[in-house]
Amino acid sequence: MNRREYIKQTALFLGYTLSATAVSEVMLSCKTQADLAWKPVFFDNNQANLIAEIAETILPKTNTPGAKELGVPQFIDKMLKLTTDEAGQKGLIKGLEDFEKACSDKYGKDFTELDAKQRQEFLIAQDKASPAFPISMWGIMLDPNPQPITFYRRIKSMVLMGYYSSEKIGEDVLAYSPVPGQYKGCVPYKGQNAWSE
Amino acid sequence: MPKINININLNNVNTFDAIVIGSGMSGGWAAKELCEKGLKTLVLEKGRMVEHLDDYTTAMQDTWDMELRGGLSVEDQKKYHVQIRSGFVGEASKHFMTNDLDNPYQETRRFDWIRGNQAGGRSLIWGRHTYRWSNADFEANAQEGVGVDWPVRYKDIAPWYSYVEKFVGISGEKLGLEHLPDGEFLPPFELNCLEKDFRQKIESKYKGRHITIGRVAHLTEPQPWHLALGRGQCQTRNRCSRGCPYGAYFSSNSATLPAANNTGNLSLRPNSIVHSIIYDQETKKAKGVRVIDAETKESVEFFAKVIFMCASAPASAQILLHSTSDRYPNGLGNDSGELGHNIMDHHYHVGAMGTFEGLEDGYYEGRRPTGIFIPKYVNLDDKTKNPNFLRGFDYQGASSRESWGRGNGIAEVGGDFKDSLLKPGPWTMSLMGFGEVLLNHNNKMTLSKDKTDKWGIPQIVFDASHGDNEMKMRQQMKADAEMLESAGYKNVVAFDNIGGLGNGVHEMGTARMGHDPKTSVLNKWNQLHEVSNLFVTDGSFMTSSNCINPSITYMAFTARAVDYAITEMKKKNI
Repeated sequence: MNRREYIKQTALFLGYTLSATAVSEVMLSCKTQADLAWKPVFFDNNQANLIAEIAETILPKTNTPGAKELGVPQFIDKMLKLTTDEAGQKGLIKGLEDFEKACSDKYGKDFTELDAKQRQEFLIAQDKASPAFPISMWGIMLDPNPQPITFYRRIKSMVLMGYYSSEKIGEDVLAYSPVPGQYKGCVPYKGQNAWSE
Repeated sequence: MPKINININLNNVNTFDAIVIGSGMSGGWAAKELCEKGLKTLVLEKGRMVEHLDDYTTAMQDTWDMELRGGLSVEDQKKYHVQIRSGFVGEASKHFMTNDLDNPYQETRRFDWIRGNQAGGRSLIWGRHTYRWSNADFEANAQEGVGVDWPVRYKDIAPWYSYVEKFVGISGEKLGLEHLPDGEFLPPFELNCLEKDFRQKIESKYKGRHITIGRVAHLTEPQPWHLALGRGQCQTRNRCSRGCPYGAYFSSNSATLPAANNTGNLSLRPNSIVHSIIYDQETKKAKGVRVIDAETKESVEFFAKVIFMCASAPASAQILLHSTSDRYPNGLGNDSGELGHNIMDHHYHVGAMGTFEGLEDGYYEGRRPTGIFIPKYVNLDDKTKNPNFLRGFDYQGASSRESWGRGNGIAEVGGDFKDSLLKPGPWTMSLMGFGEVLLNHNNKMTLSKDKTDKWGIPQIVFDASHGDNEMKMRQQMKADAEMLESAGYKNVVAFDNIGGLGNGVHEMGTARMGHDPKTSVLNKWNQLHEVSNLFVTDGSFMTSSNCINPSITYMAFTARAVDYAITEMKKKNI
């Protein structure tokens, strides 16, 4: 087996589902659905809009593109549909509802209605309240009793993966070298962007 | 180079000089050696044909070219529900892993059977680490009274290591250690900045611990005989398990099968499920092989003077156990009752990882397809004797600067966070221990009495697990990995998640070799004690497991066994 091609981002999707305990029936939203320029395959429009706003808060547009510009919300929507089983999907929707409730308990508003500072503050609080990913090496999970992965931890990991493993970032922004040729073990680092892997 | 002669309609030609069952690491070597000695050879492969280069469909893809960016769909998670226990199955190479729905087996105790049923077998997806056994490794059973004595010593196999290493092409560094003999090496890959620092720290602090670069089957400087087969220099892409478009790592597909094919003596029949060996009671020989065509489910028989079994330790034992006759009601050549017993593997998933503060002005170029290796340093002699367990372990290490994935562990959001992840992060080092599994007669596989696969072959029932010696060894493996802390690493986390026997993907020992037919299945030539023209040269023959990657040892024993078989055929003894 190839124990060397540890693609860190891949590990997050293999053999993993969110804890599906206490899964409630998905509540039907009574709100008007958000307008989206794309049609989600897993989320409803409001949920997709929430994911898009979370993604853009984590990775906003600067002089490099933001998460929305690179289609990260669409990527997450597709991945959840194709790579997550039914129990995992239900657990994720339950996590999304808990996320929304925690937000409205704290601010009296939906996440999408918060200002930029509040959004950042809420996501960082969610991050700090989420257990770290179980450790892994070469894609192998090494924690025999891993803690359940929270909604925010899962979504953030998919935001990072959707963004940094995209063609735009992988080819044009990170240092892209599909056929390196020689290996040089130790060369000076001069502040350039990391290798695209 | 001519395409391999794929025979799917062999009804008119079903008699050969030699038959090889399996086309992986051992089968490729058996085919090459037999063909080069002039024998018309049929290779029977259970899975589909995989043409070198043409069938490496994902080899040139980048992550963003894959629909799921390397992930697995829910459907594939079911299809590969056992294979994913290994951690290695993803979108890029899943097509070289076995479909678990079509290839079921039973687990009295959990057993992780990780397979690659196709032309080339697991040689397409192997870890490519290649280490020689030492004489002490061959003597350990006899000295400690464990199992049976190896009927072979280092001096018997050393020339064959050299022979296969030259053809394979192994990059590595000579260390001059008696307990990890040097081989025929191409230039080693370079250590990176952190590994150089780690080597200096560990070797000065711990007498007897060595850090070296992994010895791997990669062409760092191809030789004329490699180039002649169309193999080229490693381009350090580290996308090996997809198949190499440069033929730079060794596989059956890139090396042994083309060499066999060049003789004009090779026929390869894919989709051929071996039902059993046909035993001739009068001649006391194996006269042929009964095959079920995977696609048509038709039964076909092939005949030969000599048969090499190279299907993997469980699969070869399964075939032998299923080859019953009046003479051998419990499986062909199984008078000893050892067939299917003594399954071993290597245990790993234990070690530690940490981060290093410093060396931020250093980086690397290229994706080196290997990491560091720390050879065994316990139980080498009286001074290094550990009172708690027999045998030993080594470590393979991975070191790099963290990528954007580190963002998962940083509670930040926003533009600065995003841009910071475009830069390389701190250096990290991970050490993964690999330990010997001590043989145990009660670790066994049998055939199910009521469950078959879709071709009607009885399923394997595994009843095996790790034992007390492994558990005690792991405590030391975990404790020693914290040498990272003593080398000044931060955030050191130790881990231990053993999983099932088999997840080392080095299953072996099901038809062990020995001096005595009463306690072993094979003699020192990999030949059945009781059936002179039948040889088993996959991991089945192993009498103990050691703690190092086994493929090069299977290759060396296979080449040696073919040489012996040819000699005996010339003498009319086979």
